[in-house]
Amino acid sequence: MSALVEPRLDADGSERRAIRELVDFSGKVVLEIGCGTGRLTWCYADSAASVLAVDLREPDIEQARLRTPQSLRGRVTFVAADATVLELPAGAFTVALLSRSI
Amino acid sequence: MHVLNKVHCSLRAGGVLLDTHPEPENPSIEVRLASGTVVPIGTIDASALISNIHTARASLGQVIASGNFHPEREVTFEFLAEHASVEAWLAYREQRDTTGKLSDTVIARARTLLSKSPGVIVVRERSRALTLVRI
Repeated sequence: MSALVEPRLDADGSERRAIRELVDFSGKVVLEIGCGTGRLTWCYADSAASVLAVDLREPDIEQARLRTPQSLRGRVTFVAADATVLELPAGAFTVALLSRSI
Repeated sequence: MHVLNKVHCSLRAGGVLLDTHPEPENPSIEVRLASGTVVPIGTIDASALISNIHTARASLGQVIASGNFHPEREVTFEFLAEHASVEAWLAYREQRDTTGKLSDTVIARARTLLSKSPGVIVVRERSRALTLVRI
């Protein structure tokens, strides 16, 4: 399989602007389902208290881990799993983000 | 367990669910030339995806009706996916198991335009972002 040439998703930043308009992530404990390679994670993670980002695709999660800036390590955790069966602490999160994931 | 039920269990009361999803309609495709000219070349037949979107909206309606969440705000926006070439676009669609159907005519239009002038392919999806508050 040839290497995937990634498109520029949300090329003009409209989705990121919409997300920031709707939610203030400051100090929030965030669960992100369907995080992919962390495309949206990076637009809010620096202000969140912590982030658990989940995606089914192991290669995407590996990419996301590789791309995690040093400043966010320890605050952002990427997990390759099916969120519907993953054990999650009850009532632990203040924001849940689902981008094209329902 | 449905993902929305999982989210309900995981959020504390007053927590916010933020969902984004495309509108239930076919995405449009255009070629954006380096000169700035934008040429619409067709749409993707997203019938299967549209069906999934209706199902997702029904699920959101269900968790609201059941009293697990109440709707707060929503905004609409256009989600743009920009592909560097026809080959990159087709490879991405293949590797991501894209369900939408793309006609040979649309692909041929893109190839013709990009063979004459540099540019990119843009797939445009009207989308919606909404927040629900966990009760």
